[in-house]
Amino acid sequence: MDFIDYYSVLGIPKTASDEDIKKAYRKLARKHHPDLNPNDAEASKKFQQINEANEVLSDPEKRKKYDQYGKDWQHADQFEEARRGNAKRQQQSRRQYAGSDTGDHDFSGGFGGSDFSDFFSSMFGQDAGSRGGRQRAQFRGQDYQAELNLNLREAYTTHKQTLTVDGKNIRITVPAGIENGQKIKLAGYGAPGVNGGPNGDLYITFVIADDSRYKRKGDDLYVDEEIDLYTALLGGEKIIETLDGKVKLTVPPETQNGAKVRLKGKGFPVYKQDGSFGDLYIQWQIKLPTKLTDEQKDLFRKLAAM
Amino acid sequence: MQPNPLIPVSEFCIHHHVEIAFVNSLEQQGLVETICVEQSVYVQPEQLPRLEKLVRLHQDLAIHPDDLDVVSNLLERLEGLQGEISQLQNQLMFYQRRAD
Repeated sequence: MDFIDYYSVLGIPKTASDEDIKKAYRKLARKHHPDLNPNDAEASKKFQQINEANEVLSDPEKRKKYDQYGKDWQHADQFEEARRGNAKRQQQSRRQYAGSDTGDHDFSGGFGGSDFSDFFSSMFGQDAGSRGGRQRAQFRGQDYQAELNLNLREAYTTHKQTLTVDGKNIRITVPAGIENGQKIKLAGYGAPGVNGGPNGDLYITFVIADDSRYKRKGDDLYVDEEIDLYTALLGGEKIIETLDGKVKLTVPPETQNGAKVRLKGKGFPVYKQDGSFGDLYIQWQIKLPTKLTDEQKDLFRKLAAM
Repeated sequence: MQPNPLIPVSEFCIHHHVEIAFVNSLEQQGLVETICVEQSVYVQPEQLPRLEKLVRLHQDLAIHPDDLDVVSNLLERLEGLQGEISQLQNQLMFYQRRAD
């Protein structure tokens, strides 16, 4: 529990007037207010100190007590006695409040918990900031927004990813089949709450880069596959590479350019449905032969004349 | 019986020590939305975080209600830019990971 010099926190001398305190508080609060510094944990911490300093110094009674015991609090027996007396009063006060909802709280759930430093609590008690005087400010921490870039093959399998948010590494499990643009919420992983307010949330948006081979539409995959003219005309076999491994396909005779084949269950995994997959659509692209020999040209001419 | 999810503006104002005129001013500037039901004005729960943020800016920093619009717009821009930085950092990480 460190001694906190509230005067230096506000940057004012001990002789400062109430007006000076108010001015100094406003000036610093405008700089460090958490609402003006989203996603800045340092500013939130600083604002807590400023708020605490103002809470004490703007109240003549609290300021007097702070001035009297603040400096030598570690060695002041009198202070200890005062603290014990204060604790006794708090116990009585708690008994009085038991069973009734008299504490301040935000409608959106921002109030509750410990708001001030250990030093403040030791001097003025846990409830000192909340009862009487100026209403203390408690904030839910800011929500963080983050993006996670994946390629299609990464999105195909359930895997772990590490994300750095606000200097902290967060390890998450990315379920197979996540969609491009899909957003997930990690509750409580946003900025810490101020003055005991709850933490914000972390929203992660997944950005899945286009793949050079596969096109994804929902859970289905589309791929263009080349076959030579002779296989297209006479039929044959073709080995196709899927995200799940290689498969052998029979190409029927007289296959037309652009004809499609569906491979059921060889598409993309369905998000959070284990064992469920979309389909893979293969579109045949017939590749015409080039650099024909004279003999080949002659044979094609004969075919054309038939 | 389902509890009424709407919060009377009058109750909100008493709780937060602000005048009803303050909330009216925010509503006129388009900063918050209120709903009028049988001559009573209510605020929806999803509007509360925004409304409470504006109350804090007004009370803690003595920002005039007419100026909250400007502050709010600048904060939205700031948050947008922070999001953009975060997105670019993650993209950079992604490409660095691929390059390794």
